[in-house]
Amino acid sequence: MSEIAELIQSEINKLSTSSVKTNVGNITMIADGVAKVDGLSKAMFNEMVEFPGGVFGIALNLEEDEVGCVILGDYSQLKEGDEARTTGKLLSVPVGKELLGRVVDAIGKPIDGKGPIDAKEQYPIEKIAPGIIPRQSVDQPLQTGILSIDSMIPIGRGQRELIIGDRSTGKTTIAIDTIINQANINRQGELNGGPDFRPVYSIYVAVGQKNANIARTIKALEEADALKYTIIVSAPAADNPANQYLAPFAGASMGEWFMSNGMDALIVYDDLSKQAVAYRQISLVLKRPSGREAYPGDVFYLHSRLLERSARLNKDNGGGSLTALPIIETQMGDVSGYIPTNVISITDGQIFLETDLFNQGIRPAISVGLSVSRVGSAAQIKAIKKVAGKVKLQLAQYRELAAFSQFESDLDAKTKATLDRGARVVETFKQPAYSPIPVEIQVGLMWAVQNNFFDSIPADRATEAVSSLKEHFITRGTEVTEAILKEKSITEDIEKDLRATVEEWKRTWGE
Amino acid sequence: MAADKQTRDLAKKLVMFSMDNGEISADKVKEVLGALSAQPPRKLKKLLVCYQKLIEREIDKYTAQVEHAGPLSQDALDAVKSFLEENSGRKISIQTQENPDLLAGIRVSLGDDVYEDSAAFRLRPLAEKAI
Repeated sequence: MSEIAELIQSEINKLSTSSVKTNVGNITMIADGVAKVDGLSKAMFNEMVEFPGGVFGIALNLEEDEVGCVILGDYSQLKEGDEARTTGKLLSVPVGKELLGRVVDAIGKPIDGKGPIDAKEQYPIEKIAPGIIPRQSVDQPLQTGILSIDSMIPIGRGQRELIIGDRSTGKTTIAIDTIINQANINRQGELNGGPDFRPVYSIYVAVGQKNANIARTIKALEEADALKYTIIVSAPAADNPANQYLAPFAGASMGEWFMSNGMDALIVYDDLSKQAVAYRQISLVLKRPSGREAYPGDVFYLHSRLLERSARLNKDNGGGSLTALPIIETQMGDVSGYIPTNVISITDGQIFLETDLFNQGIRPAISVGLSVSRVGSAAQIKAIKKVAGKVKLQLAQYRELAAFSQFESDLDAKTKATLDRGARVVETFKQPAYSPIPVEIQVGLMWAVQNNFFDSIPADRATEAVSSLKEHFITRGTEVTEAILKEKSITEDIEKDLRATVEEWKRTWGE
Repeated sequence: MAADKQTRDLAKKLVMFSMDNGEISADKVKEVLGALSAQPPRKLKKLLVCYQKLIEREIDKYTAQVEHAGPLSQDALDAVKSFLEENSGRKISIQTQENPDLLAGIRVSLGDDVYEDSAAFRLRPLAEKAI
């Protein structure tokens, strides 16, 4: 008993007896997740405000007589006259490796039922992006595992590459394939990688999506054993607009932790169109002046300050990077819409997906003509640069001449060759979902196509041939693929081995 | 009811006219009310509601509400008063009120600022976690 009394006494002694000063106000109006609070004269912009029942909000509108707060959480129990108090804190989220493999909401609380997260650090949701001096140019590849992207629209670590297209064109699939490929590379690196190996951790931010879609994505990542390298931040369509507005910033803070600690991270924002719609709703309820398409005047700043937080830092600042793959949904292929043009002007390139290509069976449905990576071949290893350097031009020539393909019998040999090669390249680039291809095998496949090994194969069997060659590289070509991975270029010896491997496959294919 | 900007600006001007040496003066308030009833402007009711709210806010700036649970000595009250006068830079008047919901300790409200050192305030986070 005396031990228990001592325990309680020591707790009492630890208690501070100083008073706590807070600034308070009373709710005058509450509707649609926004509360107008009279008072709160010392509230600061973006400060967390506490409401009764443990509900929190953020002060977003600081007016002369009242403060407009966006409520995070269930506001159904709040009413006019309730007291709100400032907390003196900015909204922060837990960050660190403890979040890997977990599904959290927009303020970092776990929602996967796997227990609390023991994060040691918290980062504020709103943070100023790194300036010019701490940055370094992007020259390390981020392999997506998608042949058409890695060969023609290469992405580097620290780049922002927009994925844009209509609904159901495969935008999320590209992002998930990239995450799965990073997990595959991480696993390989953990087994065989040298001291220079740098794993890439992924963050997937789901904004305004159906819960079923988010569940399907989580399942795909689990099945590919990629979830343990991934953090999922979920703000589904049923969530209030404040959470949908904040979720990308929360994800960015989690990614910044990796970047600030000298590691590489990838963040997918799926999608920013829905974040803009949520922000529009909040701004209209806060009675902020609306502009084009009823969006508030600072909707550009919403996305620019988010995407600028992705960067590659120089060695003096840890050498880490945060690569961003924002996703934007267009309507009827209109890339000249307000939000799409805003985000296109912010990012370092875009991958444009077309519904027509998707319906023709070309998946991923990437429009090579409209897609670009402003980082370009600086983010490619020499090997893929060598074999894929001309393929964009070949495809452009093929598209130009494709209209004449119906007159096949009347064409000259050169045109026919261009059409044949183009058709085979298009078939080569077709890839099933959730099946990223390692870069060393991509090099082998492209080398085979560029060195005429597919010319004798009918175009409609090219996809089957690619699949077969890929299997061959995995089962019988490990020596040459490992050499490509080690050297990162095609030396004379590697070229000889490649030729031997592909010729061996061609013989078995012919049988 | 929410007043428009014009009405709010007029109410603020009326509050300025109601002050004497930095404090609200009852005589000046009577003068203002007299003038308004002699020549009532448009939206008089909204103006008066706004005026009332602003007057109350002004009075709250130098009138501290001290809620306490249990006895409160005069020395403690004087200490609170001198602390508030030092921090705000103006003369403060104190109004006390017993509030058993605090369980123990005091809660001092001056305008929007609340200084709290009560048992209920410290136990509240625990209660919310338990819920």
